Amino acid sequence: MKTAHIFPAFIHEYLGTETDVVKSYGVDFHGYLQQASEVTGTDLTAFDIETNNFLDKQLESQYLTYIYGCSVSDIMHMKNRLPDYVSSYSMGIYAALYHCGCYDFVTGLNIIKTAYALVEKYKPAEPCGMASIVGLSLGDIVRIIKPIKKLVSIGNHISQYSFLLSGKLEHLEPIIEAAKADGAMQARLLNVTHPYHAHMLSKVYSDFINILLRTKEIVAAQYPYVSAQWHNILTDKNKIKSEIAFNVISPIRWQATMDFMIKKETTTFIECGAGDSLYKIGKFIEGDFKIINLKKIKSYLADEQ
Amino acid sequence: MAKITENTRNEVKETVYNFFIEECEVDASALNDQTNIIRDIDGDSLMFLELIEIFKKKYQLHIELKTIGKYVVKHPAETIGELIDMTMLIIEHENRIVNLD
Repeated sequence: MKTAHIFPAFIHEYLGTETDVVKSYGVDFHGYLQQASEVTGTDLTAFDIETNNFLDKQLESQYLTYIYGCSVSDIMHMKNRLPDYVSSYSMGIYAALYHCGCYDFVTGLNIIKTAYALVEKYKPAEPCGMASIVGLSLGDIVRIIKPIKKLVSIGNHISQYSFLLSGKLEHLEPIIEAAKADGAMQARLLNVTHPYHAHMLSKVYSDFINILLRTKEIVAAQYPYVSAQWHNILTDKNKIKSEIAFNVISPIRWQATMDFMIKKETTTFIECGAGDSLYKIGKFIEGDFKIINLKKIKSYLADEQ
Repeated sequence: MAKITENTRNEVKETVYNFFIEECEVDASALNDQTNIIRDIDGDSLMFLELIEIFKKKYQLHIELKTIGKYVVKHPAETIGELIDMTMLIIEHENRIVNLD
């Protein structure tokens, strides 16, 4: 029976109790916000979890996702609840690798800032985004995007019936309509303007990896990190750097990532971040496992004492 | 095709109510057939998908999600009562539900 710590990406919907929970374990969350504001030059101290006032601000949302992830990481270390595996969903990678000891808090912030700037630099001039489609199979998705398969990427195969597509809005919008007509229970654009996990951002990779290779503050992972792209275990620092760079442009397959860890006898997953998105996705993944999110972390940590 | 008995509706109702009590963390007294799933208890389409999977296994239904989806788009279930009615139709008609209007 093994335990994996998994880190979520952007938080579209907070539980509302996240800040109180991490503070209750002594994490200086406001101190993190202040430090991040100083390092990034972006004021994060006005963040209000009740109104989720940074929802429309992608970079700020990434910083907040990272800060919550780092906060939960701190709790796990503080309580000596160490993982057999670590993995991450999309941009959750930055907090996951902080958790693995690959870099410190400030280095992680700088990596996020760099990645964001490169995506801004290289993304197509036309409006782009990501679409969520729920209720269709992979075969259905492939059939729908076939006429424009070079223009739209399956950015994330989340679970059996859930996908994220990346591309230009002019291509995503008709796909959404086609998916609805085909019986998708949900087909909508996400509140993002970057086509993450798509080949159209491929120019980001070479710049990003060159910067990362020069970043001496990134070291080997202390825990086995499971790649959401390749489904293998990484610890070597250069492979970790490559993973960070590829994560921006390469499709991820979350179901396969979870399957990999389940096959390695992982029965408990701790969702190390805000919200409960990975908990919800997990319900559509077969296996004998449980996912504990921040809502239930107190009873989990108390039980394990 | 599942056999519909007098007890089927009660089973469906119990499953649906228990599901939302657990998923939405609400008290049983807060739910009734008129409860709006999205507005009143903060439900979402993934929950509906999960319920379909539960009933698919429970009654060994031969259904395709996208077929159910086509029906749902035309006949959205907003309340718990409407969801129970729709579930009964799915159990009774399986993929042929799209032929209903």
